[in-house]
Amino acid sequence: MKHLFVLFFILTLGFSSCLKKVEGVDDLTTNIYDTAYSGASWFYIEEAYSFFNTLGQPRVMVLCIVPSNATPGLKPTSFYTTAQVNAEDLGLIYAPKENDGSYEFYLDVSDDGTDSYCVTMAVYNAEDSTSINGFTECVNL
Amino acid sequence: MLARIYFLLSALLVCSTLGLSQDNKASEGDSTKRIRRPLLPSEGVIRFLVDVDNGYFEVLVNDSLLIKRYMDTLPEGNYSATVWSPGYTPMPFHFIVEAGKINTQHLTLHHNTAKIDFVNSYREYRNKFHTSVTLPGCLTLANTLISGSFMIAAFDIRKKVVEDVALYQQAALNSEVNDIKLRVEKNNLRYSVYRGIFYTGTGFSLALLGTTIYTALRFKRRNAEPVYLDQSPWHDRFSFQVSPFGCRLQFNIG
Repeated sequence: MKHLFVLFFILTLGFSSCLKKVEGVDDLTTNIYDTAYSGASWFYIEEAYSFFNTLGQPRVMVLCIVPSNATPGLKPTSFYTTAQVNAEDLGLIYAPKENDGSYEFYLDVSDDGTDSYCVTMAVYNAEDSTSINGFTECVNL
Repeated sequence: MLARIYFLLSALLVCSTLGLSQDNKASEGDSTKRIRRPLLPSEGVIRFLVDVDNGYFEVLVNDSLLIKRYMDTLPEGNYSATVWSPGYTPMPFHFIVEAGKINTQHLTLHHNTAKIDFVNSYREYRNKFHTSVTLPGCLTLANTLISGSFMIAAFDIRKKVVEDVALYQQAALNSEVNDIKLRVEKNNLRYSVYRGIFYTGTGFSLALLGTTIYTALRFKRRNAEPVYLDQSPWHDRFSFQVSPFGCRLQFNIG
C-alpha cells in the first residue's frame, strides 16, 4: 500500500511538470488581422523609380512587398489593402499571392516633383469594410 | 502442499470419527445415529446443551473424564462435573444419568472478566486504528483523487489552448481572430484555476500522506493489538495429537 502511494505521487509530480503555463497566450498580437496587432511594419519598400508612361507623363513606381512571414499561416489567394502615397489616395488595392507566399504591390503614382515618397498601407478588413494596422514607409528616389 | 492436504483430511477424518467436532444444534435423530452400540441395562445417555457463542465446550466429569462431545454414554448415577468454554468461567454442576434414558442438561456459562476486558480493549484498539490510519488514509486518497481529476481536466483545457494559439497564427479573418482570442482568454483562465487547484490539492495530499504515515507509525509504536488466548483448564491433563502417521492420546499425571 505504501509503495502504491509512493508510485502514485511520483506519477502525479511527473504529470504536474507538464502543467506549466502555455506559451504564447500573452503574445496574441502578432496577427496582422488582429486590431491589437503590436508587431513591426508588415511591409517594406523594395524599390522606387520614376518613369514616363505611354502618354509621356512623368510617373513614379513604388514596389511594396508584404513578406510571407508577415501574413497568417493560411495565405489568402489575394491580399487586400488600402494605400496612400504622399497625398495621393490609391484606395483599395490587392495583389495575388506569389509562389513564395509573399505579395507584391506595384504602386503607380504621379510624380509630384519631390524626391521622397511615403507609402501608407493598411490591411483591409472585408467583413466591416475597415482598414486596420496601417504603417507608413518612406523611400527616396 | 499435498502433504498438508493429506494431513488436513486425515485430521478431519479422525476428528469426525471420534466426534470431537461439536454440533449443539443436532437433532434427536442425529444423536441416536452416533450411538454405536445398544445401551447396557446400567447405562444412560447425558446430553449437554451449553449456551456459548463459540460452539465449543469441554466437560470434566468427576475430575477424571474429559468429554468434548455434546452427548455421551455413561453408567447410571450422580455425577459432579465442571464445564468450560473459551472466554467463559468454568462452572461446576451436577447431573444424573438414568439407565436407558437420555437426560438433557441445560447450562449457561458466564463470560470471564479477561474476555470482557479483551473485548473492550480490542474495541478501543480498533477505534484508535480507524482514527489514526483509516481516516487519514481515506482523506489522503479522496484528496488525491480529486486533485487527479482536476489534473486531467487541466490537461484537456491546456490542449485546447495550445490548439487555439496555433489557430491564431493561421487565421486570416478579423472575426476569426477575435473568436480565437476570446476562446484562448476563457480557456486559459479555466486552465490557470484548475492548475492552481491541482497544485494546492497535491500539496494537501502530500501533507495528508505525511500525516497518515506519522499517525500510523505513532499508532503502531504506542499500541499493540490485543490478543486473547484462553487455554483449557485441563490442557495439561490430556493431549490428543493427530499426524499423517497416526494419532496419540497422552495423559499427564501429577
